[in-house]
Amino acid sequence: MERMRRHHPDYAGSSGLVVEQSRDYRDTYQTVSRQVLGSLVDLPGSKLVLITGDAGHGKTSMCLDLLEDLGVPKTEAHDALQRDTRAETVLAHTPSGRPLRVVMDLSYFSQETAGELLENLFHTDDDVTVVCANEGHLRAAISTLTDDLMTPALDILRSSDATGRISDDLGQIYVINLNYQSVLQGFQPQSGFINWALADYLDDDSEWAICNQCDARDICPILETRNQLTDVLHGPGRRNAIAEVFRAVEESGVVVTFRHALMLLSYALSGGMDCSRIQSHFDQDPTDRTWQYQHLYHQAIFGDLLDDGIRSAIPALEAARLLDPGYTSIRSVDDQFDIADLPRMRPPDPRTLHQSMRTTAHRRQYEESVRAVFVYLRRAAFFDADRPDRLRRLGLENGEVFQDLLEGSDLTESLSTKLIAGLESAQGIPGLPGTHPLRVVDPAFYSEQSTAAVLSRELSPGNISVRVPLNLSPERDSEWQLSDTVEWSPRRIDLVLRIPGANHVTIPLGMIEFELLSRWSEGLSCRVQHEEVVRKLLAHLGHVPPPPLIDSDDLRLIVNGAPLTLDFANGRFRSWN
Amino acid sequence: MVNVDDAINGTRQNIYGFLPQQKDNGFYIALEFFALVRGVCALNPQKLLASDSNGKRYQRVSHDFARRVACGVLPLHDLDGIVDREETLAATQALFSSLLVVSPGQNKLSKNWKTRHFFPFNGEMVHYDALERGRPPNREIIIQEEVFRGAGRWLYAALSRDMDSQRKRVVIDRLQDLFATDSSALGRLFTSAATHNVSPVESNFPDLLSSIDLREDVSEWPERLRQGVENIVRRDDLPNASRIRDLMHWMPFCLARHVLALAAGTTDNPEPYLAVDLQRQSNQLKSQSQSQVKDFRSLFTKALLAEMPQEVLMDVSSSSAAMKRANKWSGATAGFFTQTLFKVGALNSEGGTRNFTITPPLSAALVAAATPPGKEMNFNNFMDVMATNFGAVVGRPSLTTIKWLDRIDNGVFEKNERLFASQLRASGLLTRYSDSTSMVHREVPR
Repeated sequence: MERMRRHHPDYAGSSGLVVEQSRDYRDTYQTVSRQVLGSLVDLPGSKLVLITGDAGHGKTSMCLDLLEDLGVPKTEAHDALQRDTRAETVLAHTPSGRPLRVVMDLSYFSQETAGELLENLFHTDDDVTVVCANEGHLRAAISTLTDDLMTPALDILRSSDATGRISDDLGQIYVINLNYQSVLQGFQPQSGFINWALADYLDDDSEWAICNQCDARDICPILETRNQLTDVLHGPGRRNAIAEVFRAVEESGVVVTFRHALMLLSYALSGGMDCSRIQSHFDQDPTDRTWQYQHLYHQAIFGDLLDDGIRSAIPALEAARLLDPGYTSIRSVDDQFDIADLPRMRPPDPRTLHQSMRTTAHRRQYEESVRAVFVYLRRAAFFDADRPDRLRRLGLENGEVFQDLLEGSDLTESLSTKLIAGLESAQGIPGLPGTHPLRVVDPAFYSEQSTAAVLSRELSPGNISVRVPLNLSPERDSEWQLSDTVEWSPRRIDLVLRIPGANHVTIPLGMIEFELLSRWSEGLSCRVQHEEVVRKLLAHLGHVPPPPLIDSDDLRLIVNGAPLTLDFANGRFRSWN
Repeated sequence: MVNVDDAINGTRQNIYGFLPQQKDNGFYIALEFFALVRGVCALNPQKLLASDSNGKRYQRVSHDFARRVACGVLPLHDLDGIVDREETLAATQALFSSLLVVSPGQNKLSKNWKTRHFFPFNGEMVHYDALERGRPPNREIIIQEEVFRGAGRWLYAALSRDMDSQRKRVVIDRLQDLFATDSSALGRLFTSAATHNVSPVESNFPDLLSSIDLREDVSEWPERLRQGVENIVRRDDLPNASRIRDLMHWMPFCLARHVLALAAGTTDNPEPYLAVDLQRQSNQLKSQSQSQVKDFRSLFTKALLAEMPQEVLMDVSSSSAAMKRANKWSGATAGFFTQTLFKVGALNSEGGTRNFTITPPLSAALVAAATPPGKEMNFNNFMDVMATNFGAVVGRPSLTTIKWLDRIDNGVFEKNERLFASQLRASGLLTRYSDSTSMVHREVPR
């Protein structure tokens, strides 16, 4: 319990949680990157191994593990890293005998100093240096350098998710980008970091044995959460549902660091409470069952009780809140709820709270409490729902289709029709019913005021396909691929537009963008709210080249949604449909 | 007897190096510049931005036909033999009107085609001003300045007098590319429509040397303009339309700030820093910004009074009366300044109590002007550039020379800066990497 409390986002020391210090008593989670790092530093020719990623991915921990593997005891390694921030001394030797230096955190230095340091380290003779840096700071540091020595590193950062490359041409700079590290492994909710952490928190009966003697065990939300998640019948499904929330968050384009994942999980499992606070509730009223509901895992994971500052510091939580099943109303789901038959730890019953409703304020309170009950029930039901239904309850009606595509299924005809209609509506063209070619308009007409647009190109549905990045990389020209260096699971699909006589145009789609496109295909679109997505899609569509010139003076137009051909030869304007 | 109007214009010419006009504001400034560029390219491409263009031939095209169709002032019976049926006319009108520049505050349904110009997506679409002369039935259309009144010429002069020949070469090359003759569908459409225009006029290039004084000793804006223009036009990864749109915001912004800097210089004041407020509710920064808008107006008047020949002012008894009269005289300058900033999105409203702000298209242009192509910049550094180079204070700058800074709480600046960052982020101009670093970039990441 105490360990869990330390991981809470609102725990005083948690922001400084750098590495789990007292963890020698159990195994830590083994990442692929640990072994990869060991191999990379031993490659002949490698000079710099940059470990990048947001704070909390476990960069420092990887370095400590590496040093431990090379025979430096952990406490000693920790002290050495703290002392020698500039990597002035050689800390260990790789198996083939190369001197190894480590910069634990580039953020200790200003951008300029960091840039210089990188350059100096690059020029050391036979040494290899491991440098940990937050991605933003690394980019900023490299951008201060005037020469192009370190630019390959930026190129790798920029394009490795498309090319899979993690090194420069000469094999001197390697980048392990932990931002691509997934808290799931593959697509299996049963493996990966989330599942490991859940098991680590919940499954050791000896750690929880003390609860059996606790007076407050009947009213304890933490114990209730544990019981629900270790339930033989429903437990595994609920854990999978938790992992799927994280998967949806990652697929919506948010990087979930191990630290944030731990914070969220520990907070969800304990509901932000600890034993002493529960004890004081128990002391006040040992039978009160009205306060616990907010502290159960299925409510706490959406962080209602945390304040804004803490919430905004955890992007994963912000993203999860956007997907909150409590605010997605689905008739067939809501109809199953029975307010009269609420579970043991439940929100206050609206009917008993407000027996008389004389004023508007009363009515508003009543409405509020009914809403609270529904939010509670929807969230609780989400974790018990069947898998195919869960994404719909997160508000992602097309989420399952997206995940199928990620897992390798092909584009069906109806799906490509849908995507075509979505792309057209992003360009401001009203859709046509049925299967039709993708109409791409001239970029000059990408604006809301356009009532007419020049059609630049039409692409038949057969020219549209979907590719999952890095799943098929036929030309593995270098030994190391991005997907080998981290717990990789693809998070986006590439929509590939094959253009006869020209290069492909690739449009990357995350889960949210896919969802929006699918919805726009039905004619709903809000260009202002989703301006960013629209701009991004149009920037890609703008790369579709117009067809080779034919010497004719007619234009294919779309006027108020209807096709029209306009002929303007010799300054005479004629048109036909 | 001294002619007052001549004296005023002479003084304004002395102070600003050209004559700012209220009508000639916002995007028109950039459009006039594009029209000059295209006009030179059409006849003498090698003379583009040459420092001695005086008297060389260049071409002016009106596109009056397409503009009149776009504004719906040509009925079908006037188009006999040109347009075959009502549907064609409707489609053509819809097509042309979708291509017009829309500036803030402009009536999109206005039938005054003389003030509506095409967005220059390619060289064919660039055009000069035209207006109608005479009464029907003798009304004729001639190519003459209507809203293009010289500010665009100032831009041309500023870029052609660039001492950095390498930079100038880059700008010339890219401008030639941007406004080259285009054989795409859109280009051919405009070539075809141009057959119904009044014929293009070849005329002598205006004499920029004697009429325009950049006054670079007082204002740094001409130099900033050139640097920003180079950064914008060199972005080969951006579509032409985005580069042109950035130029249309950046260049007028620079000129308006140049005018302000000169007015301040004339009255021996330091160049003002704009208090830029993006918040909705009133706050200290907003009121500072509002009073600045008012103060700048009187700054233009004071500048005028300081330079006016004494004999014009002699008959005025008191200084307040002189001020009152001079306020009227400086109206054109003040109107030029506020209208231009409003049109490019640096001022929140056309009239009333106003404050300086930054709208998304302007912030895209500022990012494009501040960062080299394809490079990204730390958000904090960008804020420094905004304050020191662009004189726009969004967050608390590290400058100590600004007097009004102490009057504003840190919290106000922090909130303002957060709003600006989120605006940039929503337009895809900023990426937040982790807790510590955000980078701004003009190109949309993949």
